[in-house]
Amino acid sequence: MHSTSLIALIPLFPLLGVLVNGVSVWRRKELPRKTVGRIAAGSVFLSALTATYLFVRLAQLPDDGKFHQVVFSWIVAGRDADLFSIPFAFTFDRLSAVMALTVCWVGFLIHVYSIGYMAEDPSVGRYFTYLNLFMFAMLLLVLGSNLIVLFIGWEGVGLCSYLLIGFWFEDNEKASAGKKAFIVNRIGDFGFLLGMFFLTWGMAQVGGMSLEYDKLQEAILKLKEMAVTLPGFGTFPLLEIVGVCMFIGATGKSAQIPLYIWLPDAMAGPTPVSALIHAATMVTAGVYMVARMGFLYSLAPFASTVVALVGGLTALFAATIGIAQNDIKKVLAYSTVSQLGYMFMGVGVGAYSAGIFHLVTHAFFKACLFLGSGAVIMACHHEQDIRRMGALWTGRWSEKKMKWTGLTFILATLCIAGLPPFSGFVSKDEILWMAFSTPNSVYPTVHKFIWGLGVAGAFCTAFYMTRLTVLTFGGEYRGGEHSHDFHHALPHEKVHEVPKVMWVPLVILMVGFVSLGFLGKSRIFSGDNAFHHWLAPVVDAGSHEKALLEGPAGALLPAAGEAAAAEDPGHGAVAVHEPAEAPAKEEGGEAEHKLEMMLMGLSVAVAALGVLLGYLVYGVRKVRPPMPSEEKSVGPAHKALLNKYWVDEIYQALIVNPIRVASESLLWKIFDVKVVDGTVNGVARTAKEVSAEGLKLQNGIVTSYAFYMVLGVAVVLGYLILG
Amino acid sequence: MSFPILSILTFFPIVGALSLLLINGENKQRLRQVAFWVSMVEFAVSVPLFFWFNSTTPDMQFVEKIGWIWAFGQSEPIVHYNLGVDGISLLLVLLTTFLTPIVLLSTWTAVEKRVKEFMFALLALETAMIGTFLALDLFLFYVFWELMLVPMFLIIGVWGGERRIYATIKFFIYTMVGSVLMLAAILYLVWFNYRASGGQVITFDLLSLYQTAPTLARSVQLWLFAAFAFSFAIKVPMFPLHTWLPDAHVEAPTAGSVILAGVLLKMGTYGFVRFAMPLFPAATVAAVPFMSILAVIGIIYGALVAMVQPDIKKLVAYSSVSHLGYVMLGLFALTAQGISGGIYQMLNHGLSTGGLFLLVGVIYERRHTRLISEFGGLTKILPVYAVVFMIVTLSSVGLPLTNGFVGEFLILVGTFLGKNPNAKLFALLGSLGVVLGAVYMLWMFQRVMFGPVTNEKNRNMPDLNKRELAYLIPLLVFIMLMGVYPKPFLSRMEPSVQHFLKRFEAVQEAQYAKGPVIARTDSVVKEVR
Repeated sequence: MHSTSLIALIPLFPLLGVLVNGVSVWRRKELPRKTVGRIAAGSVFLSALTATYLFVRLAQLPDDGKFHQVVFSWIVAGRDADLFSIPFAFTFDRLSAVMALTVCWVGFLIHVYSIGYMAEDPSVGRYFTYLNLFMFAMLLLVLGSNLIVLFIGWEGVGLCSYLLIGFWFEDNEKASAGKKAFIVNRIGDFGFLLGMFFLTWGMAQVGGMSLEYDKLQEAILKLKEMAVTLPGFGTFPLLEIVGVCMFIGATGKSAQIPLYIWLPDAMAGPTPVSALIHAATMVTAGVYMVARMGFLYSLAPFASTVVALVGGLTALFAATIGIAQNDIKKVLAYSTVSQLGYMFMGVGVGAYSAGIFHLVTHAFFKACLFLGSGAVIMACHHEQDIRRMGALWTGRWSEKKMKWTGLTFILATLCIAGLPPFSGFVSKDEILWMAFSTPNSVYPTVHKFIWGLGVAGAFCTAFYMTRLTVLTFGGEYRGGEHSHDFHHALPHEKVHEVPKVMWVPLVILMVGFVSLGFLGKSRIFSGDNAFHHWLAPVVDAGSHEKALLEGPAGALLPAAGEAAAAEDPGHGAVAVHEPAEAPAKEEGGEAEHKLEMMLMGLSVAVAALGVLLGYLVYGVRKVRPPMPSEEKSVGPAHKALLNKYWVDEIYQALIVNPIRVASESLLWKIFDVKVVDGTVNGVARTAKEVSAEGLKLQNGIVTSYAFYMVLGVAVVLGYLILG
Repeated sequence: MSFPILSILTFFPIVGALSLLLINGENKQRLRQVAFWVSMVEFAVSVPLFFWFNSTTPDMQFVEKIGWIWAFGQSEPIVHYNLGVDGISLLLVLLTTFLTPIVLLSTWTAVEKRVKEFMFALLALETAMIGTFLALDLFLFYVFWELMLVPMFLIIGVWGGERRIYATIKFFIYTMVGSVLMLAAILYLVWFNYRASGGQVITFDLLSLYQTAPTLARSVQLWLFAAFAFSFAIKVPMFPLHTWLPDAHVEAPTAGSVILAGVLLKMGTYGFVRFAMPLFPAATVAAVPFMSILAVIGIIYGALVAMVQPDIKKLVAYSSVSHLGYVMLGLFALTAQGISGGIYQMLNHGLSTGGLFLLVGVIYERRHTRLISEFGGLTKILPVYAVVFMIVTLSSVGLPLTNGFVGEFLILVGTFLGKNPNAKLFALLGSLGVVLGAVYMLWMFQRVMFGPVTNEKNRNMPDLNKRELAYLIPLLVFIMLMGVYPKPFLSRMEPSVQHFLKRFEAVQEAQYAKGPVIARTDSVVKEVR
């Protein structure tokens, strides 16, 4: 472990940006618009440079090397055995390096794009203050060396998300969307907190309360032996409980079933925010958390299965909703929910590096898609409905309305659809393969089911993304006329490409998502997955512990990811056991390789089929989505999709309304006012009546006073004698 | 005896208040200025206490002890004038001296009638509050405690809103019931102690009672604890004794609400930490489940009822029920984290709820209404106010890097680690408050601050002026400081908290000797040992 004081600089630069821009907003002496943007983007650029520098230095260290920095000691309570001490500390290891680089560089590009996108907005200073604050919080999240610093970032990004979704707060709907995001996230955080409490409690039993990743990892085998009895529920292994609780937090932050409902609404925020926070970075925090706690999840098979299963279900579920949405951003939002599902599927089956790799590629292609959609919305003068778009990228190159936006968007579509050689294909396929080939130790066949969900989701993804792209960029322009459904119209001539400051980031992101595919390239092409190789020392550490636990025999079978890692002689943790296993592996490897090839062929075929079908339906047959007035007459399945399976309405009816009504009528107006106050006032009234009676004793007749006195003395004496 | 800093702190405000009597009652501005500067000097005097305080010892510091009342046949005085400060009371005293100038500044234009009396009442109240925190003699404590109530009745009853008389009477009934019980409990404690000492010692001295009271029989302890607990629980207020609070808050002028929420409610929780719990450890341990359940109900109930209030002030009042539920939960966790968190949360509540009442006062002064439905879209009109309100709101919902998080988190961790068999359940239910807190605060914030401006009357409201900023910014500074760097505060509590916990060690061990409900597999027990 190497100590450095540079890590803190990474989150510090955006914080300085917050201070500079924030103070000028507060004092209402706004800086020139361009300066505001430059300060904000510049601060993130400095962070990105620092992160890159540290990354280069990290690459020179041995495999399990890392940088560490304690900034100050934050919360300290208790002493000796009860000491609970949380340092404000950072770790820059291979995993946080990947995250920091992604966050900083994608974040930087989105900041630059924002300069163009927000150029007309009167509150640009506030916007960049929030955006920088977000970067600060997100970097705390990924760089923290313990769960509490992660949690600061976790809640901090939630705050920024809240502020930015409701950025145009004068619109009540947008403000509500922000509030919904915050509250739903808090529900998840409730689980996350419980997970941390259980972990703290466990650590207290094994000799030191700490939530430092290092310490947790050291103690993980002892923690594995512990069990918790929940009265009325039964006894469970501690790690399973922690795993499930913390995953509840992840379902909130990363928009998984059942807490995904806030993310589509979050599209109310400015589009670059949707790209940065609600696609590329913040929503992936849950995936990062699971990968970071990989040493725990790999010893918690049940919790991992939950992660993978929820991920798989979400991947398919959200993808189906995406098919029927007409708001360009809503489609992308459901697509994000679905893609996050894939990442959880990956980390849930123990393929941590595959999950993180999809996180990285997704950050690039989804940021590109979102920024592209922002460009489209801007080009169409705030139109977001794809039924009013079209023909933005038709004709010859010189005639194309949105040359660069269109090009990058179409390539990103192919990427997310999962067509080779794009990175989206590589990372998604890796996850699907891992899901298929990792036997589940809790429920023997569930991994096949999860894989099936993933494949079905992949088909839907290819279909709805093609639908979106074709309706937006192909065909004919549909925004030019008034109609029964749409009252405003925009002549086709007025549609224009966005300024350079906006499309250049798109092109850079495109370069990113195209080239990334070669970094984490499947074993099929080169036999060496550089990305996995890089992350393995961090994320597979848990499987190392597991191997120790289970002994050499059969130690390496559970996860094919580790098996793959074992093929690589340079790989430290798991390779220890390799010699004994190698020959058997070689043989099995052959068959496995064939199977993998087959499945890969299948997933390419599925993706191609989805794209093809989408193109046939919307490009060739020119089927148009139903207009608002026609939406009533669609079939039941279509209606369910259009209404997002009525999940929001169900929550409202089953949870939100009953709580509200019960609080108001039962708790407040009946219990507080009638029961408690009624009692108090009743007592007061009784007291008044009694004292009125008592007043009669005070009648001014001395003999009666004497009588009472004697009575009193008698009572006291009686008490003293008898008592 | 060294420099009597504690006596000065206690009596300087009342001396300052007396000096107000020399000023012509028509000269309101002068009255305000003098009162404000008295409280500022008081604050300045209290600050060195923080730095001189020795945070390595649990002992009482800066102690002043003089015999006060003698009785026949006793060589020692039975009542002392005895002041002292430890890690528990130190920060509460500082909170009081910090909030008083803020409160005085906030009344600058809000109070126009009987300014002299109002200022007098506030300064007298400060003396009584500080005396209550510093008193180490039960008799002296009781005197300050009762003294504290008079100005508060007046502040609500004279300067309050329309239903002030109803609110005052309700407050009076509740508090009087509590006071009478407490007096009875104090006398009984002294009496029992007298009996237990073989008829030798009559004393109200807290530190010597700390030694002897825990040796009383468990059944005696239970009765005494119940009496103390009842009177303090009213003050906290704990569910279901809370219904005086919303009325008192709504009817009290802003200054009254701030003092009430910021300091007076802490008297209840402080009473538990200083008296009810350490004097009767056996009873305390026995009461843990009962008190924890009430605390948890308070957290959830307060939050749910806060959610549906149409009046912002009432909403904040009910949120106090919820927040003080946290404090109680933490204290009865009987772990270092829970108690430190509980004390920390007392300070937090003073800052953030005090801040919320101030902020409600700001818009009340401009619009003379507190109904949420009257507002909407204020962010557009009052941008600076919006920022301040947002930060205080976030502190109230316990966002990390604000003070609220440190308190809540320590309390919940501490509760979870508690030795009683249902500790985890209490922590789990208490954590629900984290969700509900966000619901009621953000919903209120949205309805008041976001959306379009729907009420034309709001359009011409001026933003915060310099005076208002001057009293709000210090609050913001401490909200941030205590969130980012809690160590100086926590480290000052630490020895006292440890000392406090030691009283319960033996009792807890005996009580839970059967072993925790949580089972560990045998292998781990071996491994751990």
